[in-house]
Amino acid sequence: MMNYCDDCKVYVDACLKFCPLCGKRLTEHPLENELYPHVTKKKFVDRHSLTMEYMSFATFVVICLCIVVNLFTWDGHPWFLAVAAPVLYTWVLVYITILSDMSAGLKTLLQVVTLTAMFIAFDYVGGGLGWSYEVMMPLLLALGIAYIDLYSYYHKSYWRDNLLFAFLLLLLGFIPLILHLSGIRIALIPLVLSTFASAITVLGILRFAFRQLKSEMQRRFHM
Amino acid sequence: MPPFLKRGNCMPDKRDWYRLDTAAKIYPSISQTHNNTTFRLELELDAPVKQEKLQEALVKIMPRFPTFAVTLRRGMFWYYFEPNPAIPVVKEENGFPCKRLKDFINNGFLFNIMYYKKNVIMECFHGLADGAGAIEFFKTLMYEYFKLCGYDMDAEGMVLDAEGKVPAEELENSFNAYYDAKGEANKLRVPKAFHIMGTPNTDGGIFLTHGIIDLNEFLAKVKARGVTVSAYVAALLIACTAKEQGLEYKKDKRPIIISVPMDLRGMFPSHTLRNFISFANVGTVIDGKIDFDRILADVSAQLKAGLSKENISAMINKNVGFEKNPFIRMTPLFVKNLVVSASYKNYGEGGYTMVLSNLRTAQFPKTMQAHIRQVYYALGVSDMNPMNCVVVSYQDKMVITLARGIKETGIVRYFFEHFSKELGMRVEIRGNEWSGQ
Repeated sequence: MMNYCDDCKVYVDACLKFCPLCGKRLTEHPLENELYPHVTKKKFVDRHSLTMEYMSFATFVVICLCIVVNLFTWDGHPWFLAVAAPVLYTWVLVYITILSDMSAGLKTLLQVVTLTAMFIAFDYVGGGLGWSYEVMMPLLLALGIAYIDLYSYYHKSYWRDNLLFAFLLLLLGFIPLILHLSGIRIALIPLVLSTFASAITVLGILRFAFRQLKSEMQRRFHM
Repeated sequence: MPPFLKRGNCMPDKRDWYRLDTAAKIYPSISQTHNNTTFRLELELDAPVKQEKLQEALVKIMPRFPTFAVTLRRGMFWYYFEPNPAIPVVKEENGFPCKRLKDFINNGFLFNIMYYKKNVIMECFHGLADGAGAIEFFKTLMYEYFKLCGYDMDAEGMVLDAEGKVPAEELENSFNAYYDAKGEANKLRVPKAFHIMGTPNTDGGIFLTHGIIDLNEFLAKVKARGVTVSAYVAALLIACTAKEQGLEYKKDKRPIIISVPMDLRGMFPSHTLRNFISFANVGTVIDGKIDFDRILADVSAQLKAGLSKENISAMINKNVGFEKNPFIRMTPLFVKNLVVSASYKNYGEGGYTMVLSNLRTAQFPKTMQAHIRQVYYALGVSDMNPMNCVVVSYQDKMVITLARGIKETGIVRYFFEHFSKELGMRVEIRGNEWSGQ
């Protein structure tokens, strides 16, 4: 059924209350639109993103406040790092690790990197004893690599999504060894654990998944 | 001999990923932000759609269309398509038409098959295929759907067989096939075009206004003028835009440019289902007075020149040459995204005012035509160019769809009033609406 708009001289679908060209009212009782579903205006505010905006603003304010207070009461200790680091880590933990749908590989990589960074900040503020990179860094790397190995084993269909990040994690796994060889003291057991985890995983990939790795590299690098 | 004939009917190679074709490379980068790169095909049937039959038909045809059964992935240097083992789900349409890529929620697929009352809708990300490729997919889907509904069907050689083999030429990047490294490349600079000003729609929705006119009556009027449908509609769009935006009284020297995509399969034989289109930009500067006859003559001549084989070849050489440039190839994807997204505003959509896509006649076998009442095609809009136009004919009707992302209806009004008042034709208007507009 069609109504007629005298102004535009066109026939208008009877589902449209107003002429879509000139806006003239054509009917008081429009029929149901047979072509398109009726869309009602959004009557809600996206509470999730609004909360996130408030939270990120609060984070920014807290960190800025700490930096300003720390600078004005400077006693040689950048203690604001001990506040900023855990706050930023909490963001990664909640926003990425818990709430996002990123791949497990990326989440693990980010967890290892941000946790290590947080411990280095604590270590630095607490006098720079070196426990963060001597013990915590290799331990976290070993744990991260072990987790990604187990995850890939139990979630085989996702292994390709994780491959690139797992590969980066494996490379990071050799950092304690490189530091040790360049004369920086690293605790023996964590060093062995991280190097062993990396080495055994690299060997495992080369032995069992070399073709998949090659194919993945081809598509990622357009070779 | 065209490239696809040289190879014969061979099976596609067994790689399990696809590079994006030359035209598609840009779409993922620009669709993440301000641009809508979705087009919409809609068939109005003679009976309410049966969801379970449509779903069954979709599952059946997916193996026949490997370039549609993919998901988009990020590589180090380019995006790429990877086969998607999931099943695309048929849903009842809700929300606005021409959803942006980021709003596609369909198990990672880059197209959506939806239904609403008697309508079957396919919304497709342009990076996946052009209109011609998507129509082949949609036709096969509907053919299988009608068969499952129990109708007698005869493909008459116009529909791809859902159980047939997949020829390699359907998967090829035809731009590469016709690229001539030593050939002349297009070096024309793109002038900055005029852009339509308006108030953006609430909630980012798009208004689709379909004007349905008599095909033969319009063709007779166009032929009497000695021009093509595309030239006539493009000239009319320019005239209406100039009138509505008050360019008669402004000293704006930017031309109103209509970008007309052209299916290259007619000029360069190809059976690809991926993108194989080029654009001819036609337009004119409105200098004081809107003279429709002068605009029509200008546009018609420019369209003829722009769609010549030499010009299109030069355009292909330029685009493929750009893609093959070692410096560009080695640039990491995140840098490409930043550069493309920023520069597309200047050199891409900055160079035109509106897109006019003429999909000519929608052709279906007679047994399918008996169940299809009307065909509606549409194209998403961008923030910079908030309007565009799609023309398609079906049986004895022509449907001209104007999509707009702004509230002002002036251009649409002048456009359809030209048919109803100046040409004295019967115009039927259909479209969408939403509350709070």
